[in-house]
Amino acid sequence: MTTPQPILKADDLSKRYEDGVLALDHLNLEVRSGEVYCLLGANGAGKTTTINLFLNFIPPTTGTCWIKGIDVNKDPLEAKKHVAFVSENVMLYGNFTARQNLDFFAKLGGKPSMTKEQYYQVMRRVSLQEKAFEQRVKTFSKGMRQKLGISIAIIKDAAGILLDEPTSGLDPKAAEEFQEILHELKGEGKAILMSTHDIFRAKEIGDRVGIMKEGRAVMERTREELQSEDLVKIYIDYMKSEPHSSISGDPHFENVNP
Amino acid sequence: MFAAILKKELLDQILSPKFLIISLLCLVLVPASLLLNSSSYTNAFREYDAARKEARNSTVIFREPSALSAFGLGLENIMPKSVVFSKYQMEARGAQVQSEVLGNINGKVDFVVIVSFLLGLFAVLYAGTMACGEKETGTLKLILSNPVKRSTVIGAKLAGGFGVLLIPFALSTLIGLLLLFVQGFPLFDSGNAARIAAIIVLSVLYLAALFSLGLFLSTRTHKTSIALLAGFFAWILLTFIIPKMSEPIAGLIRPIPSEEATKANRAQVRTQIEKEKGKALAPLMEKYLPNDGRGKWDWAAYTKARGPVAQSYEEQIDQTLQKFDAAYEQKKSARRNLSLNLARTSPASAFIQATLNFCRTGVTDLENFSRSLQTHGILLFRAVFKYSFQDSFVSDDGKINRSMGGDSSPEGKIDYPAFRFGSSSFAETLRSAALDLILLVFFNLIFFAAAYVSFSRYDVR
Repeated sequence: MTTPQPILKADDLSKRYEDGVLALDHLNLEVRSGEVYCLLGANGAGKTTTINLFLNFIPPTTGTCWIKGIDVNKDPLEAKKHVAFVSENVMLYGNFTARQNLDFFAKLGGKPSMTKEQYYQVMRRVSLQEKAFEQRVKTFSKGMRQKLGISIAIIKDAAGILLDEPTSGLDPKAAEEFQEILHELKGEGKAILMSTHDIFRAKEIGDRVGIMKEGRAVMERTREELQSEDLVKIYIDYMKSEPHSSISGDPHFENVNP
Repeated sequence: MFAAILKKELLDQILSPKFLIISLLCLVLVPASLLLNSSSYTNAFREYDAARKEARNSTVIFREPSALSAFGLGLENIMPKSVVFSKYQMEARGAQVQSEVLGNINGKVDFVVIVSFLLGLFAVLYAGTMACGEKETGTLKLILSNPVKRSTVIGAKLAGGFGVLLIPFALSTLIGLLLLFVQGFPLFDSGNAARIAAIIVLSVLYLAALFSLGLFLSTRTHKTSIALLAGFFAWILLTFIIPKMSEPIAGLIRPIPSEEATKANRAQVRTQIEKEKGKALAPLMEKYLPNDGRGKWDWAAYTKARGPVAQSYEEQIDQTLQKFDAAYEQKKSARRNLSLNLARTSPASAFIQATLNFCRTGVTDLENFSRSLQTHGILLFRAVFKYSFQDSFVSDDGKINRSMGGDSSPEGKIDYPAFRFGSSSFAETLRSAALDLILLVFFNLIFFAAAYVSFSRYDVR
């Protein structure tokens, strides 16, 4: 049996900014269909840079991002057809209703002829209250906006989903609901790459968890491995360790203990 | 994609409070300014008509006020309402000092000023938040995470945002025009309709240029507060600093003597020739107009005898003063053109200059009027003033002891020449406004190109 082609793939990916800061240092990762990959790390570790590179918001210094086998840097428009994005703080258009926001982004995502009922169905799926469907988004709480943000990702129906700290600032109930939606999406075969600070959430959601430090992927564990290991301890140990004490420049991520 | 983003921009802007504020301001200010200024025009026209009927066949001419001063007062108030001619000079009445051209262009509240200042500011600030505002809310990242070209986004932003800005402009202008029509304003007389259409087109071009500038500034900043500050500064630079500084800078580059000094020089030149004429006429005065009580005056003989002697001097005075006036006018015109060209580096100035020409209250009509006055002065000299004289008797030490004035006109009615003010035709105005029109198109292209390039490199993170 052959391993399926990864939906999201970072191949020897590096990013050095104009001010000389090396934000990402030879990252290799793959996210396959039906898999959730959590990127864990402190601020400035390179998690958001990785997502920005996948979205072609910045060009890589070296290496390549692949989305469904398409080189993001060479054909960004084609690549973006196969990926949806949910950011940390989804503000959306405050003067628009939830449905109007959904309608706009659905059209951008290549779904020009959705019906009102289809929009409602997606919003029901993320447990957004019915009365909020036609309410202006500026009245929404952060949790409601995040739900609408994930609705936008769902309606695009892309093979890959990039989540940049989506549960940051959410109350436990909203975060729990968010987690359930991710499980459903995973069940539908989506490849999900999520950056997060939340170790517990990463352990619960992630099929694989990668720890990043100063632009480098320093560790990767599978869900099975984490059954017998304490992710919190591993994470804290890595954060305390000297810079570059261990790396994974290898495309297969060596499990190197600090 | 373009249609979706365009629709979003239209809806988003229309639903925003700033749209309501701009609409209310426009709906009040534009019709009110048109009504007030048309009322001023009507009064000025009545005054002109009454004065003209009263003073037919005289050496006073009256300038018909421009109906389109209701749209842009411009230089209307610094052009004289009437001019009184005498043999070697003319005296303007009812006008302010002509050298304050730009000050007067910028000083009044009318349609042109509302568009250039108020709507210009709105255009810069409106567009100033369009890119960085979306970056702040994170929606720009969300848009560009989809298969959308950046050129589509910036193009739709320009079309949508500018389209929304045009709604209050178009609505308030339409209401203003309707009110003028109801009031009986000559909207369709003397090609006014075409000129009003040109004014509207120029307004749209100008607002589009400032909107593109705002869009450019928005793509150069990452915070709306900074973009608004930059937009406000750009607006001050373009509408105040550049136009206001152009005149003093032109004065430094091309200095000319003041009006007072020039008048004094002119009088000196004339007096010098008058003295020479007086010396030449002295024997005739002694002969026919003795002043010591020894003989009787023979006025008819003097008038007849002085003619051949005085003619050459009078022609010399006329020609010298004409040359003097033409040289001064040329210097003034060169400085004025320099200041206007310097001011044209601002789209606001290019817009105002072009629009006022269409209102017949711009520099072109001021210059046309000046030329008409000079021509009329020459015609009056030939028809009327050449017969009147003022001879001075000059003693050996050069002092004027006596002055004798009279009239040597032939018997019969004097045929006063009609004053023809060469108000520009539409084609002439179009030619004179062509440079400003081209500049406005250029500003549009350059600002949008800058916004396009800047947005294509805009860091949306």
